[in-house]
Amino acid sequence: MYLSDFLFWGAFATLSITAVLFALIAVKTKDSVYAAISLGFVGSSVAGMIALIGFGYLAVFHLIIYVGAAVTFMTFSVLMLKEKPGTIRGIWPLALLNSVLLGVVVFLVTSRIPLSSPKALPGIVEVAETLLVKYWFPMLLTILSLATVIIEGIVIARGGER
Amino acid sequence: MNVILGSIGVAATLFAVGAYGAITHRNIIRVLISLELMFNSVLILLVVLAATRAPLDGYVLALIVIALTSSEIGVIVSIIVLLFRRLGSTDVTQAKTLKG
Repeated sequence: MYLSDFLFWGAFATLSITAVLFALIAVKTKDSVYAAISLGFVGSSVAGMIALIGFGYLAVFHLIIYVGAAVTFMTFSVLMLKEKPGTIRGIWPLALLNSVLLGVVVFLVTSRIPLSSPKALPGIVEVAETLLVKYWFPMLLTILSLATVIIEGIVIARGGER
Repeated sequence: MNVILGSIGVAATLFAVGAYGAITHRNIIRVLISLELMFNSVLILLVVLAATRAPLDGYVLALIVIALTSSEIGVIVSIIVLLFRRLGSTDVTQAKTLKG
């Protein structure tokens, strides 16, 4: 095994283990702030895995937009709420069985899809051209949705004022 | 084991952990965090499938999905803040106003 292969697999294994561990922390910790921060670390690990698969710019986009904006926003919002942690009592064995079965089903279904080796990945210019020429209508809808969502968020948040 | 199978394994584990959290928690923030874990797992699967099938189309789809999910978090957190102002709690079992 070459050193580059060793580094690649080392990084991949580390990111995988980190993602799963922080996911467990996000679910099991009693403090919602720590749960939100753990979600940020899961997002960072997932971005690292996306970069290792070959989608570098997508990983950066995920880090900036998802981890940097959305999860940070969620963390600061959680900080403002003085809420008590709570779980539905007695449901955890059923939930554990259900989640394990779901995970097995996702793995089996996805791994049975005949997947070839990764193809040549596109550059950022190619992606931008495709986005603006081939997929201009979904892009337009996304922009309109984002604008609507911002207005909607402000209106909903102000709606609770008395 | 190649990188694709490893990614699928991690995605399945994240999905299972997220599903467990979404089922067991009563706190709406924790439910949202669990659902976001499931989103991250699905994103890994999307990227893996895109890398092996149609990289360009998958790339564009993943970009749009990340942007829309981020905005969705904004709306849901706004709803949570509104719910907290109205009810003084983030317990989903107390939000019964929409029930008939």
